Amino acid sequence: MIRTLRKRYLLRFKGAGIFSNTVFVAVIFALMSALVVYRALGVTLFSAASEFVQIALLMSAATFVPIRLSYRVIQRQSLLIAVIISLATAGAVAFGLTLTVAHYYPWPIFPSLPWPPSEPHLVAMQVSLMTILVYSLVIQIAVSARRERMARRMNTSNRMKALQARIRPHFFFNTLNSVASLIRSDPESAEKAIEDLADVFRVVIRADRKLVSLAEEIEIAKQYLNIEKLRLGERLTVEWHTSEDALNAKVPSMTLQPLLENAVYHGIEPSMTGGVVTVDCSCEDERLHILVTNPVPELKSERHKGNKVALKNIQERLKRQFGGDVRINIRDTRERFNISIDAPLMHPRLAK
Amino acid sequence: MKVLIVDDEKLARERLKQLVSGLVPDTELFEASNGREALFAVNASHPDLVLMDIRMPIMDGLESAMHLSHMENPPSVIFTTAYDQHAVAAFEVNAVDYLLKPIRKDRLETALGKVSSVSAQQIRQIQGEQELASPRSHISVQLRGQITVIPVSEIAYFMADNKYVRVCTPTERHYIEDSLVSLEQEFEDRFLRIHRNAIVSIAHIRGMEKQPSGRWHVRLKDVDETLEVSRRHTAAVRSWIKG
Repeated sequence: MIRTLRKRYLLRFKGAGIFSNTVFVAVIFALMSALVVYRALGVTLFSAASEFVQIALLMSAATFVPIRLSYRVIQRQSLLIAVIISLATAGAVAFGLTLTVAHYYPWPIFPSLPWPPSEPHLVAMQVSLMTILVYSLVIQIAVSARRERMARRMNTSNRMKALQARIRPHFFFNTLNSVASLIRSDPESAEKAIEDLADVFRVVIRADRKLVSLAEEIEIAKQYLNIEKLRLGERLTVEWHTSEDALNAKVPSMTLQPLLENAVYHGIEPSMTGGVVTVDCSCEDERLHILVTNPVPELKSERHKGNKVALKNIQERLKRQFGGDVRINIRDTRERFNISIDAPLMHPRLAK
Repeated sequence: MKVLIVDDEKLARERLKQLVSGLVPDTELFEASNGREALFAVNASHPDLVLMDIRMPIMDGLESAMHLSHMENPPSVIFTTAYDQHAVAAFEVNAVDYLLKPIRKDRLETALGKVSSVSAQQIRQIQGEQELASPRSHISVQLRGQITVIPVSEIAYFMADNKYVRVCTPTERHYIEDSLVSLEQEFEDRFLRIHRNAIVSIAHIRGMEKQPSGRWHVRLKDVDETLEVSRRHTAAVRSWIKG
Protein backbone atom coordinates (compact mmCIF):
# COMPACT_ATOMS: atom_id res chain seq x y z
CA MET A 1 0.00 0.00 0.00
CA ILE A 2 2.78 2.34 1.02
CA ARG A 3 4.72 1.51 -2.10
CA THR A 4 1.80 2.31 -4.43
CA LEU A 5 1.18 5.46 -2.50
CA ARG A 6 4.75 6.51 -2.96
CA LYS A 7 4.78 5.56 -6.59
CA ARG A 8 1.50 7.19 -7.48
CA TYR A 9 1.08 10.20 -5.29
CA LEU A 10 4.41 11.44 -4.08
CA LEU A 11 7.04 13.51 -5.81
CA ARG A 12 9.24 11.32 -7.90
CA PHE A 13 11.54 13.74 -9.66
CA LYS A 14 15.27 13.34 -9.24
CA GLY A 15 16.33 14.42 -5.78
CA ALA A 16 12.84 14.28 -4.33
CA GLY A 17 13.82 13.01 -0.93
CA ILE A 18 12.27 12.87 2.45
CA PHE A 19 12.47 16.66 2.85
CA SER A 20 10.56 17.68 -0.23
CA ASN A 21 8.00 14.99 0.37
CA THR A 22 7.42 16.19 3.91
CA VAL A 23 6.64 19.66 2.64
CA PHE A 24 4.50 18.16 -0.07
CA VAL A 25 2.39 16.16 2.36
CA ALA A 26 2.12 19.12 4.74
CA VAL A 27 0.95 21.39 1.93
CA ILE A 28 -1.72 18.94 0.83
CA PHE A 29 -2.88 18.52 4.40
CA ALA A 30 -3.08 22.28 4.88
CA LEU A 31 -4.93 22.68 1.59
CA MET A 32 -7.52 20.12 2.63
CA SER A 33 -8.00 21.72 6.01
CA ALA A 34 -8.35 25.19 4.43
CA LEU A 35 -10.91 23.85 1.97
CA VAL A 36 -12.94 22.25 4.76
CA VAL A 37 -12.85 25.48 6.74
CA TYR A 38 -13.89 27.54 3.73
CA ARG A 39 -16.75 25.27 2.71
CA ALA A 40 -18.15 24.04 6.01
CA LEU A 41 -17.65 27.06 8.26
CA GLY A 42 -18.13 29.71 5.63
CA VAL A 43 -15.20 31.89 6.68
CA THR A 44 -13.81 34.46 4.27
CA LEU A 45 -11.47 33.38 1.48
CA PHE A 46 -8.72 35.40 3.12
CA SER A 47 -9.06 33.52 6.40
CA ALA A 48 -9.03 30.19 4.62
CA ALA A 49 -5.85 31.14 2.74
CA SER A 50 -4.32 32.27 6.01
CA GLU A 51 -5.17 28.93 7.59
CA PHE A 52 -3.60 27.14 4.64
CA VAL A 53 -0.31 29.03 4.86
CA GLN A 54 -0.11 28.74 8.60
CA ILE A 55 -0.78 25.03 8.78
CA ALA A 56 1.61 24.30 5.93
CA LEU A 57 4.42 26.29 7.56
CA LEU A 58 3.81 24.91 11.01
CA MET A 59 3.76 21.31 9.91
CA SER A 60 6.79 21.62 7.68
CA ALA A 61 8.72 23.23 10.48
CA ALA A 62 7.58 20.68 13.01
CA THR A 63 8.60 17.74 10.84
CA PHE A 64 11.81 19.21 9.50
CA VAL A 65 13.54 19.30 12.84
CA PRO A 66 13.08 15.65 13.77
CA ILE A 67 13.90 14.51 10.24
CA ARG A 68 17.18 16.32 10.47
CA LEU A 69 17.81 14.74 13.85
CA SER A 70 16.82 11.21 13.03
CA TYR A 71 18.15 10.93 9.51
CA ARG A 72 21.37 9.27 10.59
CA VAL A 73 19.56 7.00 12.99
CA ILE A 74 17.19 5.92 10.22
CA GLN A 75 20.12 5.23 7.97
CA ARG A 76 21.66 2.99 10.57
CA GLN A 77 18.44 1.05 10.59
CA SER A 78 17.72 1.09 14.31
CA LEU A 79 14.18 1.46 13.07
CA LEU A 80 12.07 1.31 16.18
CA ILE A 81 14.23 3.76 18.07
CA ALA A 82 14.43 6.08 15.08
CA VAL A 83 10.68 6.12 14.65
CA ILE A 84 9.94 6.65 18.34
CA ILE A 85 12.48 9.43 18.66
CA SER A 86 11.36 11.25 15.55
CA LEU A 87 7.63 10.97 16.24
CA ALA A 88 8.13 12.20 19.78
CA THR A 89 10.24 15.09 18.58
CA ALA A 90 7.76 15.99 15.86
CA GLY A 91 4.92 16.01 18.38
CA ALA A 92 6.88 18.03 20.90
CA VAL A 93 8.01 20.60 18.35
CA ALA A 94 4.47 21.02 16.98
CA PHE A 95 3.06 21.34 20.49
CA GLY A 96 5.62 23.92 21.50
CA LEU A 97 5.25 25.92 18.32
CA THR A 98 1.49 26.10 18.51
CA LEU A 99 1.54 27.01 22.17
CA THR A 100 4.04 29.77 21.55
CA VAL A 101 2.04 31.06 18.64
CA ALA A 102 -1.17 30.95 20.63
CA HIS A 103 0.44 32.99 23.41
CA TYR A 104 2.34 35.59 21.46
CA TYR A 105 0.89 35.77 18.00
CA PRO A 106 -1.70 38.54 17.85
CA TRP A 107 -3.12 37.47 14.52
CA PRO A 108 -5.96 34.95 14.54
CA ILE A 109 -4.53 31.60 13.76
CA PHE A 110 -6.91 28.87 12.60
CA PRO A 111 -10.10 30.76 11.73
CA SER A 112 -11.90 27.52 12.47
CA LEU A 113 -11.19 27.86 16.16
CA PRO A 114 -12.31 30.54 18.58
CA TRP A 115 -9.51 33.01 19.02
CA PRO A 116 -7.77 33.59 21.27
CA PRO A 117 -8.35 29.96 22.22
CA SER A 118 -9.72 29.33 25.64
CA GLU A 119 -7.61 26.22 25.89
CA PRO A 120 -4.32 26.77 24.07
CA HIS A 121 -3.10 23.41 25.36
CA LEU A 122 -5.87 21.54 23.62
CA VAL A 123 -5.20 23.34 20.35
CA ALA A 124 -1.53 22.59 20.61
CA MET A 125 -2.34 18.98 21.34
CA GLN A 126 -4.51 18.77 18.24
CA VAL A 127 -1.86 20.26 16.03
CA SER A 128 0.86 18.02 17.40
CA LEU A 129 -1.29 14.93 16.86
CA MET A 130 -1.89 15.95 13.27
CA THR A 131 1.81 16.48 12.78
CA ILE A 132 2.62 13.07 14.19
CA LEU A 133 0.13 11.56 11.80
CA VAL A 134 1.63 13.28 8.77
CA TYR A 135 5.11 12.58 9.90
CA SER A 136 4.60 8.90 10.57
CA LEU A 137 3.27 8.54 7.04
CA VAL A 138 6.33 10.21 5.56
CA ILE A 139 8.71 8.21 7.72
CA GLN A 140 7.10 4.96 6.73
CA ILE A 141 7.47 5.86 3.09
CA ALA A 142 11.10 6.79 3.55
CA VAL A 143 11.87 3.54 5.31
CA SER A 144 10.19 1.38 2.71
CA ALA A 145 12.03 3.23 -0.07
CA ARG A 146 15.30 2.68 1.71
CA ARG A 147 14.65 -1.01 2.17
CA GLU A 148 13.88 -1.42 -1.48
CA ARG A 149 17.06 0.39 -2.47
CA MET A 150 19.17 -1.72 -0.13
CA ALA A 151 17.72 -4.92 -1.44
CA ARG A 152 18.43 -3.95 -5.03
CA ARG A 153 21.97 -3.02 -4.26
CA MET A 154 22.59 -6.26 -2.38
CA ASN A 155 21.42 -8.22 -5.34
CA THR A 156 23.81 -6.85 -7.89
CA SER A 157 27.13 -5.78 -6.48
CA ASN A 158 27.29 -7.88 -3.34
CA ARG A 159 26.70 -11.15 -5.06
CA MET A 160 29.56 -10.41 -7.41
CA LYS A 161 31.77 -9.33 -4.56
CA ALA A 162 30.94 -12.45 -2.62
CA LEU A 163 31.89 -14.58 -5.56
CA GLN A 164 35.18 -12.82 -6.10
CA ALA A 165 35.95 -12.98 -2.43
CA ARG A 166 35.86 -16.73 -2.71
CA ILE A 167 38.57 -17.02 -5.29
CA ARG A 168 40.76 -14.66 -7.28
CA PRO A 169 40.19 -14.69 -11.04
CA HIS A 170 43.91 -14.20 -11.31
CA PHE A 171 44.43 -17.66 -9.80
CA PHE A 172 41.93 -19.26 -12.15
CA PHE A 173 43.43 -17.92 -15.38
CA ASN A 174 47.01 -18.52 -14.33
CA THR A 175 46.12 -22.11 -13.53
CA LEU A 176 44.56 -22.60 -16.95
CA ASN A 177 47.74 -21.23 -18.46
CA SER A 178 49.88 -23.69 -16.49
CA VAL A 179 47.65 -26.56 -17.54
CA ALA A 180 47.83 -25.49 -21.18
CA SER A 181 51.58 -25.64 -20.87
CA LEU A 182 51.60 -29.05 -19.16
CA ILE A 183 49.31 -30.77 -21.62
CA ARG A 184 52.15 -31.38 -24.04
CA SER A 185 55.14 -31.63 -21.75
CA ASP A 186 53.62 -33.55 -18.85
CA PRO A 187 50.10 -34.84 -19.58
CA GLU A 188 49.87 -36.69 -16.28
CA SER A 189 50.47 -33.56 -14.23
CA ALA A 190 48.01 -31.70 -16.42
CA GLU A 191 45.38 -34.32 -15.72
CA LYS A 192 46.01 -34.14 -11.98
CA ALA A 193 45.87 -30.35 -12.03
CA ILE A 194 42.49 -30.40 -13.75
CA GLU A 195 41.17 -32.86 -11.18
CA ASP A 196 42.41 -30.70 -8.31
CA LEU A 197 40.98 -27.58 -9.90
CA ALA A 198 37.62 -29.29 -10.35
CA ASP A 199 37.52 -30.33 -6.69
CA VAL A 200 38.46 -26.88 -5.47
CA PHE A 201 35.86 -25.22 -7.67
CA ARG A 202 33.13 -27.61 -6.64
CA VAL A 203 33.58 -26.40 -3.09
CA VAL A 204 34.07 -22.77 -4.05
CA ILE A 205 30.88 -22.39 -6.04
CA ARG A 206 28.70 -24.35 -3.65
CA ALA A 207 26.13 -21.85 -2.50
CA ASP A 208 25.51 -23.20 0.99
CA ARG A 209 28.25 -22.94 3.49
CA LYS A 210 27.69 -26.05 5.48
CA LEU A 211 29.92 -27.26 8.25
CA VAL A 212 32.61 -29.74 7.32
CA SER A 213 35.29 -31.44 9.34
CA LEU A 214 38.64 -29.72 9.47
CA ALA A 215 40.12 -32.82 7.82
CA GLU A 216 37.98 -32.21 4.72
CA GLU A 217 38.90 -28.56 4.76
CA ILE A 218 42.60 -29.46 4.87
CA GLU A 219 42.11 -31.83 1.96
CA ILE A 220 40.70 -29.07 -0.25
CA ALA A 221 43.37 -26.65 0.88
CA LYS A 222 46.05 -29.16 -0.09
CA GLN A 223 44.54 -29.62 -3.52
CA TYR A 224 44.55 -25.87 -3.94
CA LEU A 225 48.20 -25.73 -2.87
CA ASN A 226 49.11 -28.49 -5.35
CA ILE A 227 47.87 -26.25 -8.13
CA GLU A 228 49.81 -23.28 -6.81
CA LYS A 229 52.94 -25.43 -6.56
CA LEU A 230 52.68 -26.16 -10.26
CA ARG A 231 52.95 -22.47 -10.99
CA LEU A 232 55.33 -21.39 -8.31
CA GLY A 233 57.52 -24.48 -8.13
CA GLU A 234 60.14 -24.36 -5.42
CA ARG A 235 59.16 -20.88 -4.39
CA LEU A 236 56.26 -22.30 -2.40
CA THR A 237 56.81 -24.48 0.66
CA VAL A 238 54.04 -25.26 3.10
CA GLU A 239 54.52 -26.57 6.62
CA TRP A 240 51.56 -28.22 8.28
CA HIS A 241 51.19 -28.78 12.02
CA THR A 242 47.87 -30.39 12.78
CA SER A 243 46.92 -32.05 16.03
CA GLU A 244 44.80 -35.21 15.86
CA ASP A 245 41.92 -33.88 17.93
CA ALA A 246 41.56 -30.82 15.70
CA LEU A 247 40.88 -32.95 12.64
CA ASN A 248 37.35 -33.80 13.76
CA ALA A 249 36.40 -30.26 14.63
CA LYS A 250 33.67 -28.75 12.48
CA VAL A 251 34.36 -25.58 10.57
CA PRO A 252 32.41 -23.70 7.88
CA SER A 253 33.40 -24.87 4.44
CA MET A 254 36.01 -22.59 2.82
CA THR A 255 37.66 -21.50 6.04
CA LEU A 256 41.23 -22.42 5.25
CA GLN A 257 41.60 -22.00 1.49
CA PRO A 258 41.02 -18.22 1.35
CA LEU A 259 43.60 -17.70 4.08
CA LEU A 260 46.13 -19.76 2.15
CA GLU A 261 45.32 -17.99 -1.09
CA ASN A 262 45.95 -14.71 0.67
CA ALA A 263 49.25 -16.00 2.06
CA VAL A 264 50.42 -17.16 -1.37
CA TYR A 265 49.32 -13.98 -3.12
CA HIS A 266 50.97 -11.58 -0.69
CA GLY A 267 53.79 -13.64 0.75
CA ILE A 268 55.09 -15.94 -1.99
CA GLU A 269 54.24 -14.54 -5.41
CA PRO A 270 55.92 -11.17 -4.96
CA SER A 271 59.23 -12.77 -3.99
CA MET A 272 61.69 -14.38 -6.37
CA THR A 273 62.98 -16.79 -3.76
CA GLY A 274 59.58 -17.55 -2.27
CA GLY A 275 59.27 -18.80 1.27
CA VAL A 276 57.42 -20.94 3.74
CA VAL A 277 53.73 -20.74 4.53
CA THR A 278 52.84 -22.35 7.83
CA VAL A 279 49.49 -23.72 8.95
CA ASP A 280 48.86 -24.70 12.56
CA CYS A 281 45.63 -26.30 13.72
CA SER A 282 45.13 -27.31 17.33
CA CYS A 283 42.56 -27.62 20.09
CA GLU A 284 42.79 -26.27 23.58
CA ASP A 285 40.18 -25.67 26.29
CA GLU A 286 37.30 -26.51 23.98
CA ARG A 287 38.50 -23.99 21.44
CA LEU A 288 39.88 -24.49 17.95
CA HIS A 289 42.97 -22.51 16.96
CA ILE A 290 44.02 -22.04 13.36
CA LEU A 291 47.09 -19.99 12.55
CA VAL A 292 48.31 -19.24 9.02
CA THR A 293 51.53 -17.32 8.53
CA ASN A 294 53.43 -16.17 5.48
CA PRO A 295 56.70 -14.30 4.93
CA VAL A 296 56.54 -10.59 4.19
CA PRO A 297 58.59 -9.67 1.12
CA GLU A 298 61.54 -7.58 2.11
CA LEU A 299 61.25 -4.74 -0.35
CA LYS A 300 58.12 -2.71 -0.16
CA SER A 301 58.03 -2.54 -3.93
CA GLU A 302 57.88 -6.32 -4.00
CA ARG A 303 54.69 -6.45 -2.04
CA HIS A 304 51.45 -6.75 -3.89
CA LYS A 305 49.39 -3.71 -3.46
CA GLY A 306 46.82 -5.19 -1.17
CA ASN A 307 43.70 -3.15 -0.78
CA LYS A 308 42.87 -5.42 2.16
CA VAL A 309 39.44 -5.97 0.65
CA ALA A 310 40.02 -9.68 0.28
CA LEU A 311 41.14 -9.97 3.86
CA LYS A 312 38.23 -7.94 5.13
CA ASN A 313 35.80 -10.10 3.20
CA ILE A 314 37.31 -13.25 4.62
CA GLN A 315 37.11 -11.84 8.11
CA GLU A 316 33.50 -10.79 7.77
CA ARG A 317 32.44 -14.09 6.32
CA LEU A 318 34.18 -16.16 8.98
CA LYS A 319 32.70 -14.05 11.73
CA ARG A 320 29.24 -14.55 10.30
CA GLN A 321 29.64 -18.27 9.82
CA PHE A 322 31.34 -19.15 13.05
CA GLY A 323 28.88 -17.06 15.00
CA GLY A 324 29.53 -14.59 17.74
CA ASP A 325 32.26 -16.14 19.78
CA VAL A 326 35.09 -16.16 17.24
CA ARG A 327 38.24 -14.10 17.45
CA ILE A 328 40.16 -13.33 14.27
CA ASN A 329 43.51 -11.80 14.93
CA ILE A 330 45.88 -10.26 12.42
CA ARG A 331 49.48 -9.53 13.31
CA ASP A 332 51.74 -7.95 10.73
CA THR A 333 55.35 -7.99 11.82
CA ARG A 334 58.34 -7.03 9.74
CA GLU A 335 59.12 -10.63 8.82
CA ARG A 336 55.84 -12.50 8.90
CA PHE A 337 52.18 -11.90 8.43
CA ASN A 338 50.03 -13.90 10.86
CA ILE A 339 46.31 -14.47 10.78
CA SER A 340 44.70 -16.58 13.45
CA ILE A 341 41.21 -17.88 14.10
CA ASP A 342 40.16 -18.77 17.59
CA ALA A 343 36.70 -20.33 17.64
CA PRO A 344 34.63 -22.42 20.01
CA LEU A 345 35.09 -26.08 19.27
CA MET A 346 32.06 -27.49 17.47
CA HIS A 347 31.92 -31.23 18.04
CA PRO A 348 30.49 -33.46 15.35
CA ARG A 349 27.63 -34.50 17.60
CA LEU A 350 26.73 -30.92 18.46
CA ALA A 351 26.82 -29.63 14.93
CA LYS A 352 23.75 -30.24 12.87
CA MET B 1 64.24 -13.43 -35.13
CA LYS B 2 65.28 -13.24 -31.49
CA VAL B 3 62.54 -13.41 -28.89
CA LEU B 4 62.90 -12.86 -25.15
CA ILE B 5 60.26 -14.46 -22.93
CA VAL B 6 59.82 -12.86 -19.51
CA ASP B 7 57.66 -14.54 -16.88
CA ASP B 8 58.24 -15.55 -13.29
CA GLU B 9 56.39 -18.83 -13.78
CA LYS B 10 58.37 -21.58 -15.44
CA LEU B 11 55.34 -23.26 -16.96
CA ALA B 12 54.18 -20.03 -18.51
CA ARG B 13 57.59 -19.60 -20.14
CA GLU B 14 57.54 -23.21 -21.36
CA ARG B 15 54.21 -22.70 -23.02
CA LEU B 16 55.30 -19.54 -24.81
CA LYS B 17 58.46 -21.27 -25.96
CA GLN B 18 56.42 -24.14 -27.41
CA LEU B 19 54.07 -21.74 -29.16
CA VAL B 20 56.68 -19.37 -30.56
CA SER B 21 58.98 -22.09 -31.84
CA GLY B 22 55.97 -23.83 -33.38
CA LEU B 23 55.01 -20.69 -35.27
CA VAL B 24 58.44 -19.42 -36.28
CA PRO B 25 60.80 -22.44 -36.29
CA ASP B 26 64.10 -20.56 -36.67
CA THR B 27 63.52 -18.27 -33.69
CA GLU B 28 66.26 -17.81 -31.15
CA LEU B 29 64.60 -17.93 -27.75
CA PHE B 30 65.80 -16.34 -24.52
CA GLU B 31 64.24 -16.39 -21.08
CA ALA B 32 64.13 -14.17 -18.05
CA SER B 33 62.15 -14.61 -14.85
CA ASN B 34 61.56 -11.01 -13.82
CA GLY B 35 61.76 -7.47 -15.13
CA ARG B 36 65.31 -6.88 -14.01
CA GLU B 37 66.60 -10.10 -15.53
CA ALA B 38 64.85 -9.07 -18.71
CA LEU B 39 66.98 -5.95 -18.88
CA PHE B 40 70.15 -8.02 -18.42
CA ALA B 41 68.99 -10.41 -21.13
CA VAL B 42 68.31 -7.53 -23.50
CA ASN B 43 71.85 -6.26 -22.91
CA ALA B 44 73.32 -9.68 -23.58
CA SER B 45 71.29 -10.86 -26.54
CA HIS B 46 69.55 -7.85 -28.16
CA PRO B 47 66.20 -9.50 -28.90
CA ASP B 48 63.83 -8.10 -31.52
CA LEU B 49 60.78 -8.84 -29.43
CA VAL B 50 60.07 -9.15 -25.71
CA LEU B 51 57.01 -11.04 -24.46
CA MET B 52 56.57 -9.51 -21.04
CA ASP B 53 54.44 -10.68 -18.12
CA ILE B 54 53.14 -7.86 -15.95
CA ARG B 55 53.08 -9.09 -12.38
CA MET B 56 56.54 -10.30 -11.45
CA PRO B 57 58.73 -10.08 -8.37
CA ILE B 58 61.67 -7.65 -8.05
CA MET B 59 60.67 -5.55 -11.06
CA ASP B 60 57.29 -5.74 -12.76
CA GLY B 61 56.77 -5.83 -16.51
CA LEU B 62 55.57 -2.26 -16.86
CA GLU B 63 58.64 -0.85 -15.16
CA SER B 64 60.94 -3.09 -17.16
CA ALA B 65 59.33 -1.93 -20.40
CA MET B 66 59.72 1.63 -19.22
CA HIS B 67 63.48 1.17 -18.80
CA LEU B 68 63.67 -0.53 -22.19
CA SER B 69 61.85 2.33 -23.87
CA HIS B 70 64.71 4.67 -23.03
CA MET B 71 67.11 2.60 -25.14
CA GLU B 72 68.25 3.85 -28.51
CA ASN B 73 66.86 0.89 -30.41
CA PRO B 74 64.36 -0.65 -28.05
CA PRO B 75 62.96 -4.10 -28.82
CA SER B 76 59.23 -4.48 -29.47
CA VAL B 77 57.28 -5.33 -26.36
CA ILE B 78 54.09 -7.36 -26.09
CA PHE B 79 52.61 -7.69 -22.62
CA THR B 80 51.10 -10.96 -21.42
CA THR B 81 48.72 -11.20 -18.52
CA ALA B 82 46.38 -13.75 -17.00
CA TYR B 83 43.83 -11.46 -15.49
CA ASP B 84 44.17 -7.78 -15.03
CA GLN B 85 40.99 -5.90 -15.83
CA HIS B 86 42.55 -2.51 -15.33
CA ALA B 87 45.74 -3.19 -17.23
CA VAL B 88 43.83 -4.58 -20.18
CA ALA B 89 41.59 -1.54 -20.34
CA ALA B 90 44.67 0.67 -20.22
CA PHE B 91 46.36 -1.29 -23.00
CA GLU B 92 43.32 -0.87 -25.21
CA VAL B 93 43.23 2.85 -24.62
CA ASN B 94 46.92 3.30 -25.31
CA ALA B 95 47.12 0.92 -28.27
CA VAL B 96 49.71 -1.26 -26.59
CA ASP B 97 49.88 -4.91 -27.66
CA TYR B 98 48.96 -7.49 -25.09
CA LEU B 99 48.04 -11.17 -24.97
CA LEU B 100 45.73 -12.83 -22.49
CA LYS B 101 46.83 -16.07 -20.87
CA PRO B 102 46.30 -18.86 -21.71
CA ILE B 103 47.67 -17.45 -24.92
CA ARG B 104 46.00 -18.53 -28.15
CA LYS B 105 48.15 -19.57 -31.02
CA ASP B 106 46.41 -17.41 -33.63
CA ARG B 107 46.55 -14.33 -31.43
CA LEU B 108 50.25 -14.85 -30.88
CA GLU B 109 50.77 -15.27 -34.60
CA THR B 110 49.08 -11.94 -35.30
CA ALA B 111 51.09 -10.25 -32.58
CA LEU B 112 54.38 -11.67 -33.87
CA GLY B 113 53.56 -10.24 -37.29
CA LYS B 114 53.41 -6.68 -36.05
CA VAL B 115 56.44 -4.91 -34.73
CA SER B 116 55.45 -2.36 -32.18
CA SER B 117 57.57 -0.57 -29.67
CA VAL B 118 56.14 0.85 -26.50
CA SER B 119 56.99 4.38 -25.50
CA ALA B 120 57.67 5.59 -21.99
CA GLN B 121 54.76 7.94 -22.49
CA GLN B 122 52.35 5.06 -23.13
CA ILE B 123 53.54 3.19 -20.06
CA ARG B 124 53.21 6.23 -17.88
CA GLN B 125 49.65 6.59 -19.05
CA ILE B 126 48.90 2.95 -18.39
CA GLN B 127 50.31 3.23 -14.90
CA GLY B 128 48.40 6.45 -14.39
CA GLU B 129 45.10 4.94 -15.49
CA GLN B 130 45.56 2.02 -13.15
CA GLU B 131 46.38 4.43 -10.33
CA LEU B 132 49.55 2.46 -10.01
CA ALA B 133 51.96 5.27 -10.67
CA SER B 134 54.19 3.81 -8.01
CA PRO B 135 57.82 4.81 -7.71
CA ARG B 136 60.26 2.81 -9.78
CA SER B 137 62.06 0.03 -7.95
CA HIS B 138 65.19 0.66 -10.01
CA ILE B 139 66.92 3.53 -11.79
CA SER B 140 68.26 2.71 -15.21
CA VAL B 141 71.26 4.20 -16.97
CA GLN B 142 71.99 3.82 -20.67
CA LEU B 143 75.62 3.41 -21.56
CA ARG B 144 76.79 2.51 -25.05
CA GLY B 145 73.59 0.65 -25.84
CA GLN B 146 73.63 -1.23 -22.56
CA ILE B 147 71.21 -0.77 -19.69
CA THR B 148 72.53 -0.67 -16.16
CA VAL B 149 70.00 -0.83 -13.37
CA ILE B 150 70.51 0.34 -9.83
CA PRO B 151 68.00 -0.73 -7.16
CA VAL B 152 66.58 2.37 -5.51
CA SER B 153 67.14 0.73 -2.12
CA GLU B 154 70.91 0.87 -2.71
CA ILE B 155 71.05 4.52 -3.67
CA ALA B 156 72.53 6.73 -0.95
CA TYR B 157 71.78 10.09 -2.55
CA PHE B 158 70.94 12.02 -5.71
CA MET B 159 72.88 15.21 -6.35
CA ALA B 160 72.37 17.80 -9.04
CA ASP B 161 75.54 18.17 -11.10
CA ASN B 162 75.48 20.63 -13.95
CA LYS B 163 72.81 19.47 -16.36
CA TYR B 164 72.60 15.99 -14.88
CA VAL B 165 71.78 14.30 -11.63
CA ARG B 166 74.43 12.15 -10.02
CA VAL B 167 73.16 8.86 -8.59
CA CYS B 168 75.42 7.57 -5.85
CA THR B 169 75.46 4.23 -4.13
CA PRO B 170 78.22 3.35 -1.65
CA THR B 171 80.17 1.78 -4.52
CA GLU B 172 79.00 3.34 -7.78
CA ARG B 173 78.10 6.63 -9.31
CA HIS B 174 76.11 7.29 -12.46
CA TYR B 175 74.57 10.24 -14.24
CA ILE B 176 70.92 10.44 -15.25
CA GLU B 177 68.84 13.07 -16.97
CA ASP B 178 65.89 13.17 -14.59
CA SER B 179 65.34 16.35 -12.65
CA LEU B 180 65.98 16.40 -8.93
CA VAL B 181 62.50 17.79 -8.33
CA SER B 182 60.79 14.92 -10.13
CA LEU B 183 62.98 12.39 -8.30
CA GLU B 184 62.10 14.03 -5.00
CA GLN B 185 58.40 13.71 -5.82
CA GLU B 186 58.66 10.14 -7.06
CA PHE B 187 60.59 8.92 -4.03
CA GLU B 188 59.13 11.18 -1.38
CA ASP B 189 58.70 8.24 0.99
CA ARG B 190 62.33 7.22 0.83
CA PHE B 191 64.36 10.36 0.20
CA LEU B 192 64.76 13.59 2.11
CA ARG B 193 65.77 16.96 0.69
CA ILE B 194 68.86 18.31 2.49
CA HIS B 195 70.03 20.97 0.11
CA ARG B 196 68.98 22.76 -3.04
CA ASN B 197 71.17 20.31 -4.93
CA ALA B 198 70.70 17.02 -3.06
CA ILE B 199 68.20 14.49 -1.73
CA VAL B 200 69.42 11.61 0.46
CA SER B 201 68.05 8.18 1.21
CA ILE B 202 66.37 8.15 4.59
CA ALA B 203 67.48 4.58 5.18
CA HIS B 204 71.11 5.59 4.65
CA ILE B 205 71.22 8.51 7.08
CA ARG B 206 73.52 7.81 10.03
CA GLY B 207 73.66 11.18 11.70
CA MET B 208 74.43 14.88 11.52
CA GLU B 209 77.68 16.56 12.46
CA LYS B 210 78.78 20.16 12.71
CA GLN B 211 81.74 21.17 10.56
CA PRO B 212 84.44 23.62 11.77
CA SER B 213 82.91 26.11 9.36
CA GLY B 214 79.69 25.98 11.37
CA ARG B 215 77.73 24.18 8.67
CA TRP B 216 75.86 20.98 9.38
CA HIS B 217 76.62 17.85 7.33
CA VAL B 218 74.89 14.47 7.17
CA ARG B 219 76.82 11.25 7.38
CA LEU B 220 75.52 8.40 5.25
CA LYS B 221 75.96 4.67 5.74
CA ASP B 222 79.00 3.26 3.88
CA VAL B 223 79.71 6.62 2.24
CA ASP B 224 83.01 8.33 3.09
CA GLU B 225 82.13 11.90 2.25
CA THR B 226 79.58 13.90 4.20
CA LEU B 227 76.96 16.03 2.49
CA GLU B 228 76.21 19.62 3.36
CA VAL B 229 72.79 20.43 4.77
CA SER B 230 71.60 23.89 3.85
CA ARG B 231 70.33 26.21 6.56
CA ARG B 232 66.83 26.04 5.18
CA HIS B 233 66.70 22.28 5.60
CA THR B 234 68.67 21.87 8.84
CA ALA B 235 65.66 21.93 11.11
CA ALA B 236 63.72 19.43 8.99
CA VAL B 237 66.63 16.99 8.74
CA ARG B 238 67.39 17.24 12.44
CA SER B 239 63.79 16.63 13.44
CA TRP B 240 63.72 13.65 11.12
CA ILE B 241 66.84 12.15 12.72
CA LYS B 242 65.47 12.69 16.21
CA GLY B 243 61.97 11.50 15.36
